[in-house]
Amino acid sequence: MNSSMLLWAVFLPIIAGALCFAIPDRTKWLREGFTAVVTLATLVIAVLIFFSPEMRFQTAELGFAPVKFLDFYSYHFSSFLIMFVSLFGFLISLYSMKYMEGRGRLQEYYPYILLTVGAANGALLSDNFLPFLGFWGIILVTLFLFTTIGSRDASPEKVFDAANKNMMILGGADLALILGVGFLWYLSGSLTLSEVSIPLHGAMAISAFVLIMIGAIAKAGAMPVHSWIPQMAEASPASVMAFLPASLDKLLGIYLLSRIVLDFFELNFSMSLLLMIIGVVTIIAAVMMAMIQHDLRKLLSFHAVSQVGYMVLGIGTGTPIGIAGAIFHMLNHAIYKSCLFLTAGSVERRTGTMDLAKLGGLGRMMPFTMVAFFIAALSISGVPPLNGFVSKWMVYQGIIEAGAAQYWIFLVAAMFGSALTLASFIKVGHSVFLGDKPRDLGEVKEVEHSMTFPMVALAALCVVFGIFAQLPLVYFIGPVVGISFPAFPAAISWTGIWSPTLGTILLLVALAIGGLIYLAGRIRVARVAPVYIGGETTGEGTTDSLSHAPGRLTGLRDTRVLGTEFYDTIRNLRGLKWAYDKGEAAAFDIYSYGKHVFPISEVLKLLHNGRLANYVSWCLWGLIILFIVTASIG
Amino acid sequence: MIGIEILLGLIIVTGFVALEVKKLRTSVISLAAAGLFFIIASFVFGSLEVGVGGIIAFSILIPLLFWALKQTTGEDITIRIRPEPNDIFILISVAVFVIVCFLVVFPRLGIAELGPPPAPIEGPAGLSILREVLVLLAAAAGIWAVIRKVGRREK
Amino acid sequence: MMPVYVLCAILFLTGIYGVVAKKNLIKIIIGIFLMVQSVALLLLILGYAAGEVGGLFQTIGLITMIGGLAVMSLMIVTAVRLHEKYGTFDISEIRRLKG
Repeated sequence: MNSSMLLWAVFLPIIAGALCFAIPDRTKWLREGFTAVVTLATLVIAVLIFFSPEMRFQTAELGFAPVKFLDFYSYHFSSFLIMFVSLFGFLISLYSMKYMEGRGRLQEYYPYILLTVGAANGALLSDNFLPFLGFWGIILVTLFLFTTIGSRDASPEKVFDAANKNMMILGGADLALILGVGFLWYLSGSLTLSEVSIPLHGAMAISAFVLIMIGAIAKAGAMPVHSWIPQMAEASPASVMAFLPASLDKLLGIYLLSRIVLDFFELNFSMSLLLMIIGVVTIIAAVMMAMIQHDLRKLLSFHAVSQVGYMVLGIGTGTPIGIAGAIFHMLNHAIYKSCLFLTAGSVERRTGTMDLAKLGGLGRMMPFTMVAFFIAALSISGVPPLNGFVSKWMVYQGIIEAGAAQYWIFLVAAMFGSALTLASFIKVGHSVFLGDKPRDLGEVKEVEHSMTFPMVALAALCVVFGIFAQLPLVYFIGPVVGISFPAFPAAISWTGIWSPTLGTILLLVALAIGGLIYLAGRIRVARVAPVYIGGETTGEGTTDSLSHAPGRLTGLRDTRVLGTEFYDTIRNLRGLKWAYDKGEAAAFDIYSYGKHVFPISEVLKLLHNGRLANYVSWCLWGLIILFIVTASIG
Repeated sequence: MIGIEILLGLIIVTGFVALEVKKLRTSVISLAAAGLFFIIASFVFGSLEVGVGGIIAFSILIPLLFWALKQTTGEDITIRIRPEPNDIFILISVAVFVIVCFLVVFPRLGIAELGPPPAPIEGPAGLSILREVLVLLAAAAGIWAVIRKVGRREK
Repeated sequence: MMPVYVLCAILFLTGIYGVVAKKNLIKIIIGIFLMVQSVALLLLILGYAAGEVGGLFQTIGLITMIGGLAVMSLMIVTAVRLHEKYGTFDISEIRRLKG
């Protein structure tokens, strides 16, 4: 194995992406197949890199700074992440074959997938900040371009707004990141990721930490820089959501956050507290917003924000087990949230809508989608024995080990957030897969195999990482945080009393006994009856039918309980109503403030009259100043 | 070498005339004159390659410009348009830039030591011709792509 | 007598003046070509002053001329196409270019 393999992992997808632009529309099967094959090849390369010892590939230093044009280092953390990046790339390209069928701008869509995979691999493998920032920027650009493609039901203005917001928030965060890296360079004198390690005291070190942290959490989507994700969800295809905000951006953002906490800085108490507060606020606020959503994509996107809170919280604890839990949660989140967005996409493909009020009873018609959905939903809610439970458990453990007695509030909040997650997924499960089918929804079939495979594969991964949690912990995460987990099949004794495999067996035994008792008691088939709601009748499609029941007055016979009104009581609680109203009016959206904070941009806009000569004149003024300044110095 | 300075001055004057006249045809002829002086200057400097490059460049460019004017218009109507505030800003920028160049930059430039030309050194020149030909071919392909009528997307 | 460098720089400034202050596309193209010429001449003078003939400076000068030729011809053709579409060479009239 030589180190040029690292180049392949990065530049194979990028070059293939450039070539993919040239494949004409007539041979779209070639384009799709090509994308899938290249991402699969990248996956193979990534696996080979993972199983070979750490390698380094670097070019010569540029003269003026300790900067290398390319510097790849297969650090253990990076090499397991590039495996997952390539895996997601492969699954998404497979899924897109049918899902994106018949949409516009496919000639760009597939190359963007390849470019994103290559750039993400590049950012993860880079061991020098210059190429790292370059690749990091490419991912932002592809995210922007992906967003501009737009979903079927979104108007062009909405798509434009979403893309613009992505660019503004993430671009601003990237600016902060670059500034932070500049500070870091000044402080440590090195631009090599694996060499930088400075203590966190002094104003400059703290600003560097906070700036880089902003770059990382904006990518991952924690509050207060989260608002690009929900808006993007409304305007983007589900596959794009599953690919970037749900998986790749999480991997990258949390990767950077873990690197700054683990390697670049030594965390101190106040920064640790800052991270934990960000984490907890994100968990609670985002999940509260998620509960009341009526749009499946938007609901999922708020969960994508909420779950980031656990990762930030775990990293903020600063304890090895907490950080390990956070990294594991990042991996798990990428898997199950990707799976959830894919199931949402499948539902959209067959029914043409993502409005929860217009869906229902799809479980019987779409069994694979339903199973994948429920596994992922239980996993995100932290139900044992699935993977989400193990990582959340580790995060809780980290909070307890962090020591301070006041941290119980973080623990309680995190657990409460988990319960609310389950609550909102009960709503989704009811609205989409269970419950009654709305009348105007015609016959629905299961989606094609190329779409079920990615969903089922990700759901299976959820189960495997839950039951055999030792595998990822021992092989992926243990070496990163520098603790050796007890090997398979032994229990992870110090993570409380939870032993994944043993726990699963016990759960299965319990379920089997329960089933036996059930069978012994009533062997007859269960009676199917209309939903009984206390003599009331609800009109289909009315959002307030349970409370005010206009259906009761009109005497409609159709009694379909809408999942969308499950949590209307919470929505209308006195204290919360205010917060929700503000939330829906984007009062907590940093972007909406940015628009008003910079009226100066309105003035600058006037200077843009579109004449090139005008811009050249400004350049001339710049040169004039430069000439005069250099002349007066020299 | 007074001659070279006179040649450069002539290039500047003809170039300026090319920018200022109203008849575009005259301005192209003026540019051709500038090109002629450029070619002479490069031969005076003893550089055969650049001189030949200049001959090729101008013998393609001048007919192309004439062709372009024949296709379109020979008058520069923009000369007469009253300048807007924006144009005045641009003119001021250029003027200030020129003044700063004269006052600040030029006094700091060293004066070129121009002795008699050294004897030409024979070097491998074959490879570079191939490169120039490639560039020209690429340009020709580009021109063809722009002006072709068939397969072009109208409206 | 002005130094040769300064004459080259003045030629370059003339080109900049043409590009920035002129509104006619053909004039702008001519301005760019004057800039190209000035760069090629500067390279010649540098090579001459360095006492080198047929070397690096000449090669770069030749590349400048040929590259300039390629770019110029493309620009001229594009200008003709724009004239076909908008009926003018006045860049402030060619509204679609406005951002």
